[in-house]
Order: sequence, then structure tokens, then C-alpha cells
Amino acid sequence: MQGTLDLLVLRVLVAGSLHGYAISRRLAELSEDWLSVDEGSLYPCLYRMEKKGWIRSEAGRSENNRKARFYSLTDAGMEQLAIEQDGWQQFQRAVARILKKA
Amino acid sequence: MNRGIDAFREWMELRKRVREERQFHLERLRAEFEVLGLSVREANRAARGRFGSRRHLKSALHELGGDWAGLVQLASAHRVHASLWFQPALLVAGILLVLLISPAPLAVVEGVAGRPLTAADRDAVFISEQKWNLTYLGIKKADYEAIQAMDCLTNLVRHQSIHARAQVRKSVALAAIESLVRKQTGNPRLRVIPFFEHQPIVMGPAKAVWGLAGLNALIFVVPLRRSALWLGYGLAVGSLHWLGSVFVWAMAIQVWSRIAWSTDGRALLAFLMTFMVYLGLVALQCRAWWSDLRQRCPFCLERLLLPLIAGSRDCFLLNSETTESVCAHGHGVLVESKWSSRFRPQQSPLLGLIRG
Repeated sequence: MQGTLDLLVLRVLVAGSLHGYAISRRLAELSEDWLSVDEGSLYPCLYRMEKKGWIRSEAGRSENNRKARFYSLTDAGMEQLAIEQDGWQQFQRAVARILKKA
Repeated sequence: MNRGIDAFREWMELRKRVREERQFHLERLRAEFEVLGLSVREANRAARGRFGSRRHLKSALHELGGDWAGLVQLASAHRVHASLWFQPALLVAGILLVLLISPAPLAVVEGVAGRPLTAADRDAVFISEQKWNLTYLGIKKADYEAIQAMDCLTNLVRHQSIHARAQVRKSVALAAIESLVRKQTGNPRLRVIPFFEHQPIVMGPAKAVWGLAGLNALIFVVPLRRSALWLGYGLAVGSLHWLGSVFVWAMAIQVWSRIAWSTDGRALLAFLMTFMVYLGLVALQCRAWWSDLRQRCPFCLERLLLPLIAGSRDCFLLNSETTESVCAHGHGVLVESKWSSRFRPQQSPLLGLIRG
């Protein structure tokens, strides 16, 4: 769903900085492999959010000592996460109401 | 020049970043599949399949500004267009491109620079109809067929409707051949001309257009009485524009002459259309040259900044609209109106504001 990936990535990054691969693994893990994030869509999403200033990136070393880029949340990103979460909950409630009453 | 290099370097860095991240991700996926028992090749294929198609890579590059559109944006952000070397570099690249795509690059160079006459060329003539002693009109098919039987002409070839080319026997004078040609065809306007005179025919229209453009440029530029540096730069870039333009014309004529037109009318129509397109190109070049030159400081050649509009568009007699642009190095202010363009060295109040 449009914008959902942004919300999920922002939420995952609250725990701390992660590289792209770790973000995709974490998303799969938390959804118990129910959500499979297309890696080809993850990076455009990360770059887009970085451009908007929601996340920042810096070069570093991964756990197996390979060069990797780590993404972390900015203050603007935290605010955006709150907005996105709020929007998502409203959406969820609206859908639930329709399913119940229809 | 540095601005362009900086923009390009930054762009390459962005592309490198996408490539490195993709590489890292693919390596990790590959390792994961190998642990599951897949062979190296299978793991590689599965990892690529999971990562996504090239469309996703393009999308990532687009988001990051690592695609061609991103390069243009970066060049614009670095003010590459304001660089002294921007137009010359673009023109040289254009000339190289023309040579690259031309069916016969050497012939294009020869078309522009001319070529030394060979022994065969010395006896070569071209035959064409001439009107009012000014314009060569070409040769009609009937006339061409009539001169084919003449003994004094060998290797007779007709190039479209422009002219017929032939070798003449050494013992016969040109005047005599011309007389024979006219008698044979019954066309008194046909002329037999030595080959070397033919060269201006090919490049003539392009040179005539640029002659006119050059004259107009002199009328515009010389009364402005700016520095010799400014005039020298303008002249050098203008010459490059001329060179690039005649290269384009030489290539266009080369392509045109290689097409087997079904009728002379179509050939002429195509020639006229080519010439019209060429005129448009020259107009664009003149505009690019002048608008860039006008916006440069006569002392340091840097692009002028902070355009400020003064006056009123509705009151063109008493308080006409002018645009003032200032040199960032404090050399003066360019005052432009609809009718004139003056550079005022170190006199404007705008300059005082800048100097504090």
C-alpha cells in the first residue's frame, strides 16, 4: 500500500541505525515472514526519505566487516513517524467500521 | 571547467553509492541462499531475482539523482552553464559527435577546410545551368542525357540536379567544351566550370548565412566598446559556433547527396527544408552566443548576478523598464533595456550596497 513502507521503515529505525539489508530482514522477522519487502523497492524508499530529511545515512562497517551504509532516524523522521502512525490508525479504524456495519 | 568536473564527480559518487549498496545487499542474500544449500550459481540467480529487476535499480538511481536527469540538475546547481568553458566544451563535443555519426568524416572535414586538388581534379569540370551570372541552377535530365554522347567528356556523372561532373580531354579548351555543350543541348545557359570553383557551391549557403550573422554581430558588439578580453572571448566562441555549424551543414549535405531521390523536385525540396532547419539552428546558436556574452562582465568574464528590474513597462518614454545585473567581483553593473545594453563600471548604487 502507498506510503506503508515508509511507516514500517521509520518504525524499524526507532530501535537504532541499521543498513538496508538489516532493515529488510527485520521487517520480515517482525511480520513472521508474512511481509516480504521487495529489496528493489526498499532502497528507492530509503533515498526518498533521506532526501526529505526523515532519515540520515552514514558509511560504516557491517558485522562481517564489509562496507555498508547505515540509516538512522532524524527528529523530522520521528515527527513524521507520529503522523504516519496516526494516519494508519485512523485508516484501520475506518476499514474496521466499514467491515462491521456493511 | 571545475564546476562541470565537480558536478560530474558528485554524480559519479551517487551512482557509486547505489552500486555499492546493491552489491552489499546481493552478497548478503547470496550467502543466505548458500546456507540453505543452493549452489553458488543458483544462489546468485535467486539473490538477483529477490533483489528486483533493473527497473528498480533505475528507480533507486532516480530517487538519489544518479540518473541523467540528476546529472542535469546537479550541473544546474553547480552553475555549469555559467562557466566560461561551457559553450566551447559543448561546441567541441558537438563537432566530435558530427564526425562520429557522419558516413564519411574525412569528407566532412574536407568540405569545411577544402582539400588539395589532385591530378584528376585539375582536369575535372562541373556543368550546370547559370542564371543572371549569379546562381547555379543545376542541370536538367534532358541536358544531361544530351551531353553523354560527347567525346571530349569522360567519366560523366550527374550529382542529383546540382551539376554534372566530368573529366575533360587535355587537348580541348574549356571555352570550346562549353560551346559544344551548349550546341549539343541547345541550352545557352549551361556553363562548364573547373572543379575547384565548385567547392563554394557545397558550403556556400552556410557561409553566406554566417557572413550575414557575423555582420550583424559586429553591428551589435562593436558599439558596446567593452574590453578587449570580452571581445576576444566573444570572437573565439563565435568562431567555434561558426565551425560547429558548418560541420553540421557539411554533414547534412553529405547525407542529402547520398540519398537516391526519385525526382529532382524532391531533391530540391529536401535541400530547401534542410536549409530551413539549418537557418533555425544558426538562429539558436546566435541567440545562445549573444545571451551568454551579454551576461558576462567585460573585465573578468564572470557571469553577472542579481538581476534587478527598475522602471515601468507601461511608461517606456519617461521611466522605461531596465534590468540591472551586477558583477560579483565589483567591476560594475550591466544596465539593459529593451533597446540598449550598457555596462557601467563601478558607478551604480547597487555596487555601493554590495561593498557595504
